[in-house]
Amino acid sequence: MIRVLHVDDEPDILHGVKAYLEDEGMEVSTAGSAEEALAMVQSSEQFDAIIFDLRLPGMSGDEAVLHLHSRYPEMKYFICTGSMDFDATPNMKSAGLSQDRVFYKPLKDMSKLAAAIHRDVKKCGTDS
Amino acid sequence: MNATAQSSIPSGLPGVVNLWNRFKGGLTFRLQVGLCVVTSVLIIGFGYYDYSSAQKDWNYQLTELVDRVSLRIATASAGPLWSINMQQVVETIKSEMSDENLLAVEVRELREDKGGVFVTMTRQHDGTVSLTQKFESRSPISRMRMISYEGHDIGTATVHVTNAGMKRQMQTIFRQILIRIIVVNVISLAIIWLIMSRSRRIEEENNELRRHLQNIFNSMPSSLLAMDSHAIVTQMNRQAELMLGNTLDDSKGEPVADVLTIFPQAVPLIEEAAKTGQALQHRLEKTDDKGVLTHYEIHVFPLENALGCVVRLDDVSMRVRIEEMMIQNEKMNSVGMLAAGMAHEINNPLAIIAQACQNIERRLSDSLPKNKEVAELLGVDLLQLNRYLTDRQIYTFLENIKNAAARASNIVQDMLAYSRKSESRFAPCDVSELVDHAIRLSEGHYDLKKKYDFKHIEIERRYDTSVPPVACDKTKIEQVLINIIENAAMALMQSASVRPPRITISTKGAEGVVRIEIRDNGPGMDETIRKRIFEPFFTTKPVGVGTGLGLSVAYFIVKEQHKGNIEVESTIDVGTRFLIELPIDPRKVGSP
Repeated sequence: MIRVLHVDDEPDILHGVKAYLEDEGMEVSTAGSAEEALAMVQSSEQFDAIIFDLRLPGMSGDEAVLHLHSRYPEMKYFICTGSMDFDATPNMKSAGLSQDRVFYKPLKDMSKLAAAIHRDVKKCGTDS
Repeated sequence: MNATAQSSIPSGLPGVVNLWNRFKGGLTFRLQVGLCVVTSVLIIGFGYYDYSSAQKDWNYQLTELVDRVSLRIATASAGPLWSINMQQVVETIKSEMSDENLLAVEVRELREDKGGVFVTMTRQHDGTVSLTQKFESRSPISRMRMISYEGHDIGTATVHVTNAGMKRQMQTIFRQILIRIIVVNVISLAIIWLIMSRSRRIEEENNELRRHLQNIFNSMPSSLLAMDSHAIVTQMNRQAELMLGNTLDDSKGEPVADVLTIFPQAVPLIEEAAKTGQALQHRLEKTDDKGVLTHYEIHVFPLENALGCVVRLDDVSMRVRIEEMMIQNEKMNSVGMLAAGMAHEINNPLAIIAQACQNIERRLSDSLPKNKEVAELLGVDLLQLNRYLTDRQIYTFLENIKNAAARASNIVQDMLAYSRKSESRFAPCDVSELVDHAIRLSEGHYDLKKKYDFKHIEIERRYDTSVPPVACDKTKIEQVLINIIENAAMALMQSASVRPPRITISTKGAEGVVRIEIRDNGPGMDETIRKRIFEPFFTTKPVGVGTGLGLSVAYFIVKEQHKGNIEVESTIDVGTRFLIELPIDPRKVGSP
């Protein structure tokens, strides 16, 4: 089972995405801030994929991605943001954040996010 | 040496001839000739008077001389003649002839026996007096007297005088007249020449100054019009002639109200300024026959001592447009920031709505195993439930919510574009290709919506193929062009004009920029609409057809993201023209 962590400061968004991805057969945990997410990862919880919002209270989503990627490069990082003008910086790209892992709110079709997670996590699973 | 001497002649000679011709024709020449004649006549007149009075004087003196001398000789020589003492007669005559004017004295005897000349004494050329045989009479004045001795006439004494002295004096007078004429004329000519050359120099300086002032007056970019205290036009410069359409010659001496016919509003301003002595300034607007609006600024400056006014007229359309654009920029920037901030906050609730709809749909479907599981557990028949939901139009409501969320999301995306700076997506694009693609997309877009058949619109392409590639966000510029082309097509659809609908799209390279012009021959729009056309949520379309964001998004894409320029010009019943200016390299354009 694919384990996903979704980080967003809006509980109703977390609720909606979690419901959808769980229907897709994933195990979804949620966190309201980057700090909470880091704590969850460090307390030896295992995740295959983490979805970050960019604008978060405290540490921002992109900072958290860079921070985590240096320690957990095997995890897949996704962005789901309300800002239209987000473009992955070279740093972010080196963290595996290609443009097809960036999603813009509102997600008019959550199946695309689900498919991307399936695609990236599965590929990794068959590789290893 | 030779060469310089020769070369100086041809250049000098025409100069002299020129000067002479100018001099000959001028007032100076006539004045001088007249003065010469008058002074000459006067001098001759006075000279003639001198001459004739001197002549009269001489005649009188000579007559008196011959009278006196002849009397004395007749008296003194009576005795010697009687006694025939010739020697004594000669002595007497000699002593009397000391006066140089006496030419000759002849004493004759009248006795029967000894008649004839007794003594003749004549003055020779050297001035000496000597006895001569006879005297040929060539004297102008002479006097003969009887010589009587004791009551008997014994002889005659005739005295002749010469007029040589008189002639000499007359010659002197004549010479003096000539000298006076020459001297007086030369002096007067010299004085006149001096005065005239001085006045000519002053006149030339005045002319030069007048030309210079006229030149300054005409070189002014403003229209200038001067009038006297009775509001009669006295001067106008070339710019004013062009603007008002009549010449200075026609307008000079006319009342200003008859000259400023195209600005009747200006006349009361001029009157007020003349009355109060205070400078006035006013903006005027004028629409020509083609419906083009021009802004003018009028300044009225009263002259010192209430001697009239100067009116300055300027075409300030360009300045008014720049002011409008600056105000527009300010307004758009603040609106853009506000919209972007708002849009951001709206995105999250929209996300919740959109996600909730998707989850509801999916959790109602009978294909998801988990749904079946839960339904079975609760004893609910999913097929029945779905029938119920369909019958009660729950799915329709759900669909409505989804559509509304999607629409709101599109608006929000457009609004977010205001604040977007996506230079990283800039890549060099071929402008002709880009425009062609935009045309194809908008044609497809319209066919799809079935709102207007693009086939009836003639699209004219005028591409400048020499323009270099432009660094831009291709899809964004396409979006701008599509927005404008769609607006044009919609305007053409509304137009009841007999003209075949046409959209002309041209590209043209200029210094550092590429200009894309989109022109339609539709109904055009009035000034109020034109001024607001780029404002967010401003639309002339029916509710639900347009959000009023298309052109404002276009504005932000061109102005903010591409550091370019976008302008619109429109004339009622003629059409509308959008002009987009994109810098070839936006990174080289300094941020304001």
